Amino acid sequence: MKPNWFYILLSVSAAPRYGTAIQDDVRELSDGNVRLWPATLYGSLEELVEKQLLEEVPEEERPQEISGRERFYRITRMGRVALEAESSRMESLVRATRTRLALGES
Amino acid sequence: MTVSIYRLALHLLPAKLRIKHGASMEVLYLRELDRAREKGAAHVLMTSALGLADVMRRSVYELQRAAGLTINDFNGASNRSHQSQHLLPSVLHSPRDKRPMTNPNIPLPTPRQLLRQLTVTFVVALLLLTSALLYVFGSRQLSQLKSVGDVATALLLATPFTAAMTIPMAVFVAVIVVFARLGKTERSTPRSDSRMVFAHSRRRQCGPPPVLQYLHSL
Repeated sequence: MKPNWFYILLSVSAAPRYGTAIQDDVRELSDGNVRLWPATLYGSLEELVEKQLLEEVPEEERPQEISGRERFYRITRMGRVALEAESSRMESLVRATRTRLALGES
Repeated sequence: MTVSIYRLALHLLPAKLRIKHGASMEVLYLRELDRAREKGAAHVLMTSALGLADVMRRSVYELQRAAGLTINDFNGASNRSHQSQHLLPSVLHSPRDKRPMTNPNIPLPTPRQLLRQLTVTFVVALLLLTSALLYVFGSRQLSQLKSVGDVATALLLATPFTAAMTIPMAVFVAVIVVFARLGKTERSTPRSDSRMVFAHSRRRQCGPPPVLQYLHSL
C-alpha cells in the first residue's frame, strides 16, 4: 500500500475528516515526515473512494459543528480490512527486522 | 500571482478532479504559503515551487493511470506477504477497476474546447519552462551583477529570448498532454460516437479509393 494511502486511511479510521484536517492529522501522525500536498491529497482521496476503501459522508450526516462546504470522508469496512492487513504486514516486517538485528548483534 | 499560476497549473489535472476539488486545493495551497511566509521569503519560493511540482507530478500520474500504466501498488505490497494477500478484500481486483474511469457517454470535445485546452496547457508549460530557464540564467549571472537593478535588467532583457526558446517545447508539451487526454476519452467513448472512427468506418463502407478501384479493374 502506498504510504499516502496508509496515512489517509489511518487518519480517517477513528472519525470522519475533511481534506485540511486529514493533511494536519497525517503531518502529526508522521511526526512531520509526511506532507500531503493538495493535488496528492485530493487525488489520493478520489482514488481511495474509487477503490471503495473510503466513502464520502453524505451532507446530512456531516458533523454539526463544522459549517462549510468541506467534503468529509470516512473509512469503509473494506478500508478497515485493508488497513488491518497492511498493519499486520508491517508488524511482521518489524518483527523479522528485529530478529535479524538481534542475531547480528549476538 | 503565485495563486494564479497555481490555478492555471490545476488545468493539467483531469477535469473531474479539478472541478470537484480545485477550490479546496487552492485553499490548502494558500494555507501552505501562509505557513511558509512565517519562515521567510526563501520558504515561500520553495513552497510555491513544490506546490506546482505536486500538481505536475499528479497530472502525469493521472495520465498514466488513465492509460492503465500505473502498477497497483496495493497489489504489489500484498504479493510480498501471503498473510495480507489472504486478508485483502476482493474489491481491489473487482471488475469495477477494469471499467473505464470516465463516463462512456462523454462526447469528444469540440474543436473550440480542444483549442482552449491546448491554449491553457501551452500557457502553463510556457510559464513553467520560462521560469525555470530564467532561474538558471539568473543564478549563473548573480555573481557577475552588482546591484538588484542589474539583475532585474538582465532578467528583463533575457525574458523575451528565453520565452522564444521555450515556445516550441511548450507547444510540444501541450500537444502531448491534450492528445493523451483525448486518447483517454476516445478509448472510453463508444466507437460509434467518435467522429474520427466514424470517418474511418465510412471510408471502409465506401470501399477502396477510386485509384485502387481502377487498378483492380485492370
